[in-house]
Amino acid sequence: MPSLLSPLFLAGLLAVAIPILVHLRMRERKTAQPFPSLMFVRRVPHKSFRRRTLQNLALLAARTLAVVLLSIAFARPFFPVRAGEAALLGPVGRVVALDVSASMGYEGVFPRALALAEQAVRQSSAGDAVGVLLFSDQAQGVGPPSTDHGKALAALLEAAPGARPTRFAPALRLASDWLGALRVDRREIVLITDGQARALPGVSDVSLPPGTTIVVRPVAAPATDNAAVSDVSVEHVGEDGREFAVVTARLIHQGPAARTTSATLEVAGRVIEEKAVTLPANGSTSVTFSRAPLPAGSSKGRVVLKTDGLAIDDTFHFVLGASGDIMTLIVDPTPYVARALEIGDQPSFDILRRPTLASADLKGRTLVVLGDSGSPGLSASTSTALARFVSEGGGLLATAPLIGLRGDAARLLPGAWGENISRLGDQGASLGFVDLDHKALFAFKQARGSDFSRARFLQYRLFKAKAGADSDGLKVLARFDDGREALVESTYGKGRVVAFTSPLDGLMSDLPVQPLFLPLIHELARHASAHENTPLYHRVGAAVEVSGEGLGAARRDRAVVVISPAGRPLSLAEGVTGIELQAPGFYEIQDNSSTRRFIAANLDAGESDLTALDPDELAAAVRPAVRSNENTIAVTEAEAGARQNWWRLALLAVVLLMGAETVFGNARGQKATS
Amino acid sequence: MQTRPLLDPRVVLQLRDLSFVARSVVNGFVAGQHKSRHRGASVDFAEHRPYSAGDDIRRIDWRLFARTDRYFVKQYEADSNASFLIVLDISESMRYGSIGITKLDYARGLAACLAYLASSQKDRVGLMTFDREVREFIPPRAGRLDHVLRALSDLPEPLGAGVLGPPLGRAAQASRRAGVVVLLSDLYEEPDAAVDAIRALQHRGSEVVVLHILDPAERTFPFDDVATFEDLESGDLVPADPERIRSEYQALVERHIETLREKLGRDRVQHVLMETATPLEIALRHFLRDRGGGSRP
Repeated sequence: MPSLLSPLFLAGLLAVAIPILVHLRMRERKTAQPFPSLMFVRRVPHKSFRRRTLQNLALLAARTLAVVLLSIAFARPFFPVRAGEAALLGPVGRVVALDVSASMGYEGVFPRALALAEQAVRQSSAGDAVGVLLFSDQAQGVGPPSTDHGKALAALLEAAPGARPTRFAPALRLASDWLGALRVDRREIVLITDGQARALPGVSDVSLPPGTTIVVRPVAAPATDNAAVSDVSVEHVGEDGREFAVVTARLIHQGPAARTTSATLEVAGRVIEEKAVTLPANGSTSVTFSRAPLPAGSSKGRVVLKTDGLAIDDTFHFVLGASGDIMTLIVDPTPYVARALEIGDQPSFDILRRPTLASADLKGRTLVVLGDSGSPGLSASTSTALARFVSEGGGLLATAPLIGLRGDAARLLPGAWGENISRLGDQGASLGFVDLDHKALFAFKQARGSDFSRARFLQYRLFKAKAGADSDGLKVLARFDDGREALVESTYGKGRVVAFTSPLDGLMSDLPVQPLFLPLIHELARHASAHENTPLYHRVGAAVEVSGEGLGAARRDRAVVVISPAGRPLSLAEGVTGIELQAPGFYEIQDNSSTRRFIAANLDAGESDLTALDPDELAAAVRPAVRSNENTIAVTEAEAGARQNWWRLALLAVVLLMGAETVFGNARGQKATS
Repeated sequence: MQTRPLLDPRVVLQLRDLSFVARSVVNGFVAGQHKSRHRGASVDFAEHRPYSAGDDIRRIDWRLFARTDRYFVKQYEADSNASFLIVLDISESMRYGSIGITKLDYARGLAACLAYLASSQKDRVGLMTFDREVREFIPPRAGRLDHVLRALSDLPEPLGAGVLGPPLGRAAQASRRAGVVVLLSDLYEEPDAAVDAIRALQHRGSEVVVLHILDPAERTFPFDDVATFEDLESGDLVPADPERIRSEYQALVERHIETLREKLGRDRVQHVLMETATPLEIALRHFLRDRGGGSRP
């Protein structure tokens, strides 16, 4: 096949339209030309016009050919030589992409898909390069393209549907990389999938090598009936000093007719209740189970549906645990903090309010909130007790400058308090910087309405961090508009101190009456107390931190062992603090503490939706190939020049044609004039 | 002297309201003549005559009755003016237009202007439309301007090819008194047959004016492409190379026009050739100038 050095000049072929349009205008009209009366036309002796039409056609052909040849000449055609023809793996490069997402586990689907994949491999000619990749939301290249088709078939033997969602983009991207590296004339991707519509995101960003065709082999079951547990919520209720959980499961059903099934709630391996549920046709319903007593610590919960065509989404895993109140001591005459912490139960705060801080009150508490009058005037023993409380893992949230502390307590923050700064003159200071990337404030990063700049601070106290305070764990979470510290945090021993430099008393600052106040105090209190908020469940594919900073002081720096749902221990590499959940079920986290933690993983809810995608829609979503043709062999400029003499011939033909056209046109014009 | 831009017939005839068109064209035209006789004529009192049974009681002069205790009716000058009949060819060939306006539209506008002008002179205005037969006939009467304009606005669809003989013969028979007859047509007939038909309109001594309406393309045959031409009236198809036949065609058309003018002139019938590209004021001016000046049709 000839190639072009300047293919852009082929755009000049559009100029072919010019002579054609001229000819169309000059040619005989196909439709009759109306005229009032032909009584005079009829009297004119008949004269033939056939010859003129033929003349027009000849002129059109000459002009069109001239334009075409001119464009080709400027595009500089040449015939490339493919270096190393023997190195070619085959005339066709084919990648068989087999969907192994969870939805492929629907009864009968995967065997059909495997058969199609094997067929695609076996039907390839001996010289074709065939590769196999398995994909879900990740692409796994199990058999790169090769003329050894046996490898491709062997790769298929190990294929099985997994638990991950479907995404076409990773598979197409890997296939594109494979095919782009091949020196073949034709490229083909055979996509064998049940084609869920949710799998399209990202496809439009994939560029395929030129000439690549996508052959979609849909394997979705023609009629599906699938029920799944898509979500679970848990409400904690207390009675007679005991805590119970009320579990509600949301069930979805994709099927043409309503049907009845059974749903079972299990907690810690014990069946709590089995209920008959009527699933609406192509709809959803919810079922609430009887309350279940909560065992100590975290325990495993499951909602199990009667098995149907797709078994993997019939069980939903979640983690139940005691709600874990944050035992909070509030020493603050203003009501703002106490009222804010009384609201909500995730987590809930067990609040003890005292007008002054006493050592005895610290017992059993995990968080102390000190207000404006909390710290001044503390006795030496109380200060020492407070310092010991923090160093042993307690949290201290100071809603006013921590002044007046003595002894060890004076070192809770690595710095010194200075004079009061009054901003009465300029209507108060505002927050000019807030570290929204900090763990305690991250929740506000994408939240709307969390406008920190609206709060006004009429007075605050200077805080001068001591040299090297950063290494002592001091972090400035917020600064005023003049750059001075507004909110600082530091670790002390195993505990954490978070302190405002302006009193949140409603007088010197209006922050307590801002909408932002409640979530801010909740987040800071949770952060200061290092409370872990264990989610009910995760989805397969999520990354979950199992050790390190995010888990608080109690579990930091402990050796962690993770047991997968299949019972295999997973080792964490050096410096890695999290795992990616690969399968539905319970991951068990073991450290050297006495308690075990569980992480529940569930299928992506979209995998239960078996609605098939129109293959044409997928083909339309793939962006046309934009990459350059990589299968031609690069030649040197001199070699290219030597092979592009065709343009000279084309240009010569143009000159001859234009000359002929001129002579012909002039002769015709003279005849017409005469 | 104020100058006024000429009204492009393609523009002015887009207006559906022919009354407005006629008023605009004629008033503008009259204002430039300086010799109008129609100033105040519409209210010119002629005389009183005694009331007789059948007279419109609205014409009774009640003031005179108060003074004389006798009924008199007012007579106006208009009551005694001439009749003015417009004969309009609405055959299929008149529906041709190569410059954005058809001959029929142009003739319709011209007829409206003439009717308005005649009515302003207190002439009795009538209208006859025809193709191969008479399609509508409004006998000349005083105060019929609205009827005429309405009929011009709502012309019937043509029944096919037009002929001049039978319809013009019927028009001549229907005319009860002598007057002015204006024929607007493209005159696609042999000159002898056309002249014979027009001559019938001179029955009872009427003065006949022929406004020969043509599209510019009918005189120049400006087509470039070899084409099959379709006769609008007969539907016949004739292939032709315009470049080759143009000069002969033009000569035939001009000979036809000249023959008509000569033969009609012999019968004292005024022949005025009007192309649809000509502004209506110009056409009216030529028409009136050829009739001896002034603004009276």
